[in-house]
Amino acid sequence: MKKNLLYIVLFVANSMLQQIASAQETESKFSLNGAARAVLFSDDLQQENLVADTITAPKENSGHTLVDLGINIRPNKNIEIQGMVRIRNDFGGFWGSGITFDERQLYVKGIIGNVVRYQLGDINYKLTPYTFFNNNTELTQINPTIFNQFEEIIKYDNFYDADNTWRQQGAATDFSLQFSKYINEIRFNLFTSRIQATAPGVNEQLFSGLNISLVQSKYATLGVNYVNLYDIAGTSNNPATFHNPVTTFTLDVEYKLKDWQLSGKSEAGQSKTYYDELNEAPSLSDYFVDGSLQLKYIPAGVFINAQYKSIGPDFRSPGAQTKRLDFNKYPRAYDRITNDQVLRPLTMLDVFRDAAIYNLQLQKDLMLFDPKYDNITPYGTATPNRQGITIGAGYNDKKEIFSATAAYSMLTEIRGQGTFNLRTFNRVEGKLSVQANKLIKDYEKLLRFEIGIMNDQTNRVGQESVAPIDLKSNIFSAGIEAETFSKLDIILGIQSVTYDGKEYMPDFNNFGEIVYFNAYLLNGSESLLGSGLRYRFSDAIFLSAMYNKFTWTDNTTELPTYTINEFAFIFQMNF
Amino acid sequence: MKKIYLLYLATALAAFQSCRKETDAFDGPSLNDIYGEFSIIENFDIINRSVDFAAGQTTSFSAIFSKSVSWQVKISGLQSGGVKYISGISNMLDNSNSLWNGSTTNLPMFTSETCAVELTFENEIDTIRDTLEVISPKINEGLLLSDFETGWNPAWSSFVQSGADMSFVITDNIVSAQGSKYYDMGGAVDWDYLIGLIDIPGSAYGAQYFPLNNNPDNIYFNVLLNNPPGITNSIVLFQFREDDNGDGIYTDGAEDMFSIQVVMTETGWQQISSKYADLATLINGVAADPIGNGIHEPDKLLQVSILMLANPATGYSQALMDFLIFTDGKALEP
Repeated sequence: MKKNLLYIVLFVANSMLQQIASAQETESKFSLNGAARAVLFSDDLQQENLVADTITAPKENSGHTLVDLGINIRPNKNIEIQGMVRIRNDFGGFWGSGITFDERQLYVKGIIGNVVRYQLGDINYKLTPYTFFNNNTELTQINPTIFNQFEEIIKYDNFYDADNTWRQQGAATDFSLQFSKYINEIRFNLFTSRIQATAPGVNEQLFSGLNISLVQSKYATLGVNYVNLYDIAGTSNNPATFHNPVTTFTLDVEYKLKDWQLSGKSEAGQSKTYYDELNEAPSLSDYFVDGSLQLKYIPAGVFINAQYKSIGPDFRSPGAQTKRLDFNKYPRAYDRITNDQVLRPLTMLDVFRDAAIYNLQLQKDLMLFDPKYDNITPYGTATPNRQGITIGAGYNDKKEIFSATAAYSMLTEIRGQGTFNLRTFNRVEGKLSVQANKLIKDYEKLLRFEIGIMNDQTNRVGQESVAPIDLKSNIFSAGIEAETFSKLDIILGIQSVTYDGKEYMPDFNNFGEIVYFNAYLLNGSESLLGSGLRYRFSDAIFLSAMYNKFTWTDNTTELPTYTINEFAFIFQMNF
Repeated sequence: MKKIYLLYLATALAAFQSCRKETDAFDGPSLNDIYGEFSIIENFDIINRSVDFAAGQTTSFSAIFSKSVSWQVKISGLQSGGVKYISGISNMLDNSNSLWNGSTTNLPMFTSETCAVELTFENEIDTIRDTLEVISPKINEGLLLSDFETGWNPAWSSFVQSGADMSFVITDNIVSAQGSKYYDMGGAVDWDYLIGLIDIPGSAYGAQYFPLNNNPDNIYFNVLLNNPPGITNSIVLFQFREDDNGDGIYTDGAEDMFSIQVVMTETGWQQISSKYADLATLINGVAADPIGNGIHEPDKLLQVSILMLANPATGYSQALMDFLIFTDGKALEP
């Protein structure tokens, strides 16, 4: 009997231990992640019309709450599955009628044989600035923290990661070979993603790439990159197929001598853009070179750098030249104003807060851009038809009090547009941030100042009876973050952009050839003033309430000067 | 390590050396053409003001403009009424883009006459006028069946129904498409489609068959027809009978007869041209299987017939005809 009782006790104890172990194991195999957010905008439009606008509603309220609920499953140490759904309720939805459920993320990734990593489904990927790179949005490089909160929401919603990856749906794999002599490692990265699904008359389009990096030592890395945006023949009744292969080579070097560090980065390559089975389509091919050197004095945190680049006018790389902003779209807020209900063009305010004006997919052709925001690098580093040098300097002190960068670019076109005369481009940019609390002894609360400028100038001499180009645009920003009570910050900011001059904007045909030039007169300004309070519950959770005043003036259009007074509320939580 | 840095520096130098500037082309249309002001830099001129087209001469025009424009030169024969248009988009007129060989755009053909010349521009108000003299008109090469200038060819035969207001005659009542005379076919026949016909045998031109190239892709039949104002029912049928078996006669129902049927709708002179290889077999105006061997053999063409037709219920019908010609290599450029 005692023996039986002992067996029973041991059995129960064993079962309990197994359950506990199982429970512990379940915890490690399954986790939840995601984010939650509540946003509210309350806008008031004031127009300086000669005749009062009696059609446009001056006050608009919009906002939403949402939860991104992710489930991360790790069946074993070599496989990970991530799924995420978004539950969103736009304000105004009632009894569930305004609620949407969307799949936001789904991927499977793992390691095969402890050698080859793979990921299927949603992948975030990039290669180099000339092959596959998600360039930053205009106006956002120097914006202060108070407006950066909006940008972070847009970047999160549109999958624009900080490392400039593009969100793609496809497959990726990578592996490496390590060596004991002469070279350290060779890394292989391959991916493919679907850009366009088959439709009547539209072929399936894929974007595929390969990167091989040879790490010779900690001093030097050689790389070769190949990407191709291409249609698959036979996937529709359209025999014409598009192809845009890009091949580049990279060489990165780094050398340290006592307190000095010298590093260099270079990339060169070529592209070809053509159609099969379409005789009237042109074929473009061109090349680029880009080399930079940076010299850093480590003890002082000071560096200088210089870059030379030459990107051919026919160099096309959709993976690197696709823009985030889609200037063919119009803002959701006050899309038409005045009694004539004129379409309101995109502005800095919309760039900061309207996720709907952004593009999520690679585009085979160069997209529309607005020269008043960026006429020099509208397609990022790989903007075609640019050649010249950039020199810069920077300072990051060890105590992380001061951070400053400055750069000057002098670029020209390689081939004229509509004339043999070439545009010249000059850009001066600088940014300074000061962690001022660290300058005050024993002052632990946050006190930070930041200021930034970007001054662009485009010139081209006139020809015969064609007027010259003389376009100037200036972006200025400044911001303050000051902690008052514990974790409660006052945040202030200003950003303005002014523009004046004339440009000629090209119209393209279906093959990306310029067929016309539209004269574009610019004379105006935009400014955004903001002030607010932010409470930081933790590094991952904050609550902000702010009041912003946006003023838009353009002396070349029929639209009147207008102001949008905006009250905004943001609650953001990541988990 | 030094080798790597040398390689890097060499790469950087190579990059810097790649500075380039393309000066021989620019992207897109010329801005000057779009936004520049228009002016005539070098005055309009006529290279050959007295041109003898029959002697193989040509003429052209010259001018230089401040920008590329869409221009048009209109040459109007003051006697014939013929009009020639030459147009283009460029910033200059020269021999390469304004050559005139005496051909016409709108019939009639030019004759020996004074011509008014007018240069106009799209979207510009400027108009420049001048004149030139045509000493003798262009000669059109080919086997001319008739231009009716020297009267009826006695080797031809005709049949005319005994209807009302019948007129199968050579006349000069209106401006001819070429020269001064043309053939007028007209009448009212209320019992038959056929109003009248003309048979043109190959023997009228010196041999049993028409003296034509044997390649049907090179031979073109051309005729100038006129539908007088108010006439809406005229049909002109051209028949081409071949001697497939070479026996010297056309055997009905056994040898090829190709046709062109012209239903006249537009008034005024118009050119009808057809490649011999494109001639179809028609039965009652509807495409049908070939009657003979089905091979287009212009060198076996025995007879051309011209039938003037009209629906008998529609009353009087009329068509004018001029300058019947076979050309070799290309259609007639009158």
